[in-house]
Amino acid sequence: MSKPRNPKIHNVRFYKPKPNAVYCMALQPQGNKLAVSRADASVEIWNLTHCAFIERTIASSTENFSIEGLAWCDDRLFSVGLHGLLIEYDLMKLDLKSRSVVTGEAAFCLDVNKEKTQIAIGTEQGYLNIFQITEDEVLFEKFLDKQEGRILCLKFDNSGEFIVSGSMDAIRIWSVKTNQALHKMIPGRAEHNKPTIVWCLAITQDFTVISGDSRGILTVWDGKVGAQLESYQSHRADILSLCLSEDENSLYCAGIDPNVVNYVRIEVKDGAHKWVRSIQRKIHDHDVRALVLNGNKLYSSGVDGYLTCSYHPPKTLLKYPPILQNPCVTICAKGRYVMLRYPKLIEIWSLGEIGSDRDKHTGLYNVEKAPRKLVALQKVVTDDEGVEKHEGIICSTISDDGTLILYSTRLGVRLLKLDCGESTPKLVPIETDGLGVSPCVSAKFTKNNRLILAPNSGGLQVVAISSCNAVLMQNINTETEIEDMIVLLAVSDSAQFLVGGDVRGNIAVWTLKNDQYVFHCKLPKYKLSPTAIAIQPNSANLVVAFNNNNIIEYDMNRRELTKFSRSLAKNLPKQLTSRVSPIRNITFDSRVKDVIILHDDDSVLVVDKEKTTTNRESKVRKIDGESKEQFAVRCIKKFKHLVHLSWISDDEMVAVEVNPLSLIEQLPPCLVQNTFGRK
Amino acid sequence: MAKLGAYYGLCPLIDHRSLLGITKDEENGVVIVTLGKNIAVKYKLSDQKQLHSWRTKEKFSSPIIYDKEQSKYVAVFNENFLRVWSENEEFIDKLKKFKFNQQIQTIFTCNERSFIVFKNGAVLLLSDAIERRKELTLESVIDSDSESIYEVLNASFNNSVYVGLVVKTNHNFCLYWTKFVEDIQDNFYKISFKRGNADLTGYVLHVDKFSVNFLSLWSDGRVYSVELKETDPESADIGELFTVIESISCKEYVSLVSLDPNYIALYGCNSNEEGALLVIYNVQFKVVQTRQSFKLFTNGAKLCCIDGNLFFPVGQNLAVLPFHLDMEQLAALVGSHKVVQTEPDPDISIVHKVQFVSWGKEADSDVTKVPEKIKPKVDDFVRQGLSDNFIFETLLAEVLDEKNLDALTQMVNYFPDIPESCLVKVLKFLINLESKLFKTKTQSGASNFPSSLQPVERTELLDVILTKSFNETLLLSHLRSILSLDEVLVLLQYIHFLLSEDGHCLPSRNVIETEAKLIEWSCILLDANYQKFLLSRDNKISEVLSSLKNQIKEELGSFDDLRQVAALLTEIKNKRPIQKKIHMGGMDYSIEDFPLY
Repeated sequence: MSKPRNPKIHNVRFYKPKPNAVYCMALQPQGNKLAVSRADASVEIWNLTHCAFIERTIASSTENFSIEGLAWCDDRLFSVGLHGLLIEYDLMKLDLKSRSVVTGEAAFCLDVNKEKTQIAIGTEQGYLNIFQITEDEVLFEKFLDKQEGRILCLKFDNSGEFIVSGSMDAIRIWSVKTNQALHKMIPGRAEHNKPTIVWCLAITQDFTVISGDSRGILTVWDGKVGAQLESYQSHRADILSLCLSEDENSLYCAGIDPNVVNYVRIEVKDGAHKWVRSIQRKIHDHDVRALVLNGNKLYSSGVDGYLTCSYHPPKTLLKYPPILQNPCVTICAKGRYVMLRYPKLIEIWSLGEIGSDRDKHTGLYNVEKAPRKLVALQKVVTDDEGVEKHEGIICSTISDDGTLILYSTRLGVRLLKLDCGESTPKLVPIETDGLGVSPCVSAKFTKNNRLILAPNSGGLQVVAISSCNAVLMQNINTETEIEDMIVLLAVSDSAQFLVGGDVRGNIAVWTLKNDQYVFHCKLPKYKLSPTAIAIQPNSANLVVAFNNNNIIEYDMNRRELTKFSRSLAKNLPKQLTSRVSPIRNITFDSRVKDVIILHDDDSVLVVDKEKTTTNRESKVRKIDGESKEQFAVRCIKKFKHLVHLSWISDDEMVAVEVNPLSLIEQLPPCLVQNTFGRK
Repeated sequence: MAKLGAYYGLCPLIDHRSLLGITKDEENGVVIVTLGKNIAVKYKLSDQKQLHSWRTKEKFSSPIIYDKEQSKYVAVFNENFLRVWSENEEFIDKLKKFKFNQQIQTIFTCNERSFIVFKNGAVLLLSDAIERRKELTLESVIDSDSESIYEVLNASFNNSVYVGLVVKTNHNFCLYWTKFVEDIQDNFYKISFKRGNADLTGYVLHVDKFSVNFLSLWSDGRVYSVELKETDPESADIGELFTVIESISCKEYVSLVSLDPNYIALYGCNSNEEGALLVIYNVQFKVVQTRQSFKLFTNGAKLCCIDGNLFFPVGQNLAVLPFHLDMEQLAALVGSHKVVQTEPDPDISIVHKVQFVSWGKEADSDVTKVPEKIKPKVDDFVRQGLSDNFIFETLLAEVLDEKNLDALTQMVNYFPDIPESCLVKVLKFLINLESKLFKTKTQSGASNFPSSLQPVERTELLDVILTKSFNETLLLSHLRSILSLDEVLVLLQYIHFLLSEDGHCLPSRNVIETEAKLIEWSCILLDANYQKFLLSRDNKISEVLSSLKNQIKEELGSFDDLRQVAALLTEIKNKRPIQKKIHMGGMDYSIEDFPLY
């Protein structure tokens, strides 16, 4: 078979999302999930099994504009913020579930006790609120004695009887029962007139309290008597975050001085213990705001927005860029537009046109017509005080010819018609009676002018769009097939098949019969989460990529895995399994039917179904004579933070890339460090 | 560079004639002025304070000198005895006399040695003379009857001390000189000076970098220099003409003193004979470096140089003039130089030794090669003293009238400098000449060869014209007025052809020179016809211009290639791994081939 001609690629590098600083992180160990809240008050739920990926995002909203504290209570996620509300999230609907007002204005911190019965919240005015957690709501229980000054951090002790709170110049130990402060511990000041702020706390089983403060000093206290045990000048600037390992023998701390320093508890004479400074990790250049330890993996993040996972052994550092959950880029091949989704903004750009000649040395084609920003869409909401605010975008999509745009905020969906005439583009809203009320979590236009919506209330909606209005045609009940919200949607080119998938691994196929989609089949369920699905054009093959970078190919006509998929499963190519970032997107070359093109954050993988290679690396000869043949996977490492890759014509592709430098550019200055021999 | 400081008076003089001399004391900056026959004063120069003075009843007949060898002061009294005393001695009249049986001329120190000179010309080391004064028998150097010592000169060079006696005979002057090499005295040598109509008015022993020279200044302002060489015991060679002094009138006595190997100072009457002038003269570059004039000239006044100060009597005062000699800087001399005019003096014949150097034979043979055909005419014109330019212009008119190609070829080849107007005329002529007039009919096969310029012979001549140098501004107007638009286009086409792959180099030029020349020509052609090109709607013009433009674009492109290659080669040379990756981070949008398969 002759090699197909290489396509031309449009490298789009004008997608420059702002790296939103990570403020809080909370780990849910049972589900291996990490909740990450960012400066814009959006919450990302990262699935940490295998390759870490964002499985759901709760977009920032004008209602919940601040997150200062984040905590899990089993599967329920709570946050507090400067608005003085305790918020519970509905992770199925990607929305707020409930709001409870906290006494004492802005809330800075919260903690859930071990029994998962109470939530404690520290506030600006010094009130320590206790909320009771019931089956499906939270109830205000009481607040403890008012203290002077704000409470910046707090932690329940192991028994749940005591709360340790950190504030300006003081750490207090409270009795939850009596509402009284038992001990007040004073950390002292570095400068006479500069109060010391206790930023973070950790409590061990034996009620040893460890605090990090604005002097950069890590202090170990005896909580039982309220006395200081040890103190270390750990950092050159504020320690903002510290985390304790499960066995409580190791802790990590970092802050404005971004060195992540490890302290280890060692046994000295006569069974006494002492914390000593161990290794340090220089993995951030900017303030580290949050640290979470999951087993031996340390997740750290902060102002630079990168979620960083570091562990040892083997010494590993994984960095996940601050890029929105997939799909944040939609390409319309026919209209040659690219839709870029930002947290609170959608941009639509026209692609450039290829000129006739090319630069001899760089091999770049002349760009005849430069790409042009056509539209920027925002949902503006006016709050009580008349201040205009932008609502966070939950999902957005554009039809293949670029004439229809749909986006959803928590207030509902908006359907717009884009008319790119000769000069200025025009947007005409389309009436969406009856379906615009509830927000949707994902949406897709089909080639026959239908719109598939996944409302956050569950199920799927099929909408027919005419020139001036949209009519709901069908409600598909997905309850039996799909447990979670539908994050993955795919429609075959002929609109014959409709595929929906959730993060729990349920993938179902509906087929078009008499203009109605009926349930067709359900794919075998894996314990893995799918990260990308795609239907090969002109065939009934569905390709699903999972978060361990395994892929399956499913023949929807025969309702079985293809032969290729089964043989692939036997012997997964190393290029796939060794990846650390999840597959973002799957695409196919319409000219070549035996090729699957996948991409993750930095590489493009071309899987050739027809070509196999023998695994030369394996030195052990298989006794049973089983062939060690693998499918040929070509890996192209050319990108950094490749967000999207797809075809727009037979020989043209579009790659949307986020330049790491463009992320760094937008960051505030970091703490000035003197490196050796330089100032 | 020599600079004179501000002068000041050191002390009043009784009479400059009675001044016996100024000598160095033990310390620097202190001088002993032997003012008169019975008074001597020690002065400190920095504040002109009198440190000490001596008065005697017996008369000094020489300046007091400080003899470093015995650290004592010595002076000659009454021309026949010496006294030696130490510093704290107040009355020297009662001291011991060292009497000599010969009359003493003077004593002096040179190179920290002291010498004594007797009237008969004998020169001895002072210490030696004192020791052996009883049994001293001295051979006369000069004939005491007819000759008398006029002045004693001294100089030190290479650890030897040269002593010169300027002796006045009845009519003339002569120099007796000897030298002391480590206390051993050499023989006396005699140089007699005689110039017909000039008198000796000044002299000095000047030590330059290589030799000791006797400079003699004559009343006509000429300075002659003769090197003191131990070759001839007696000679009459006053040496070569060294320079001519114009700023000082040399009719009277001029006092000369050597300052350092490159400078001498002259003190004499101003050339307008009003007042005196002191000049520091650079011997190396033969220029007057600096001068200082004084209102009053004292005849017979003597210059004296001690430690960067010049001493000389001005009127009734002894003046001190500090001077400073800097590093030689040629820049300071620019424009100050004046060539010495050789004199029409019948007595003196100056032999100019001119060396003929051949700079390469070719040039010589080139000059003579006047082509046969035009030789008679050219020779005729040359005889009239006409320039090449003119000759060419005149000849060209004829040649063009006759359409004489051979003559034209020869002319063009022969004359290196062709007037711009003629260049254009020849161009026009060549472009329009009927092709049958060319002898060889060889046609160029190249597709882009302009058809109207066939046969090749035409372009051969054209090439020669294109190699000629020209002045742009002069050429421009001729191009504009003489050449028609079509002719210009043909020329441009031809230049385009030459620049293309089928083109060839211009005669005796390499590729680079050819290209430079062609680009120069095409630029000026475009310049000259810029407006016509702009206004004309002729397709042919745009055709020619765009082909030229493409050509240049192509060449620039290959330069770009070379630049890339150069960078790559540098990388390879520095043994760095070659990076295939292109940095495109700065580009927001780019389209390229994607190596998918």
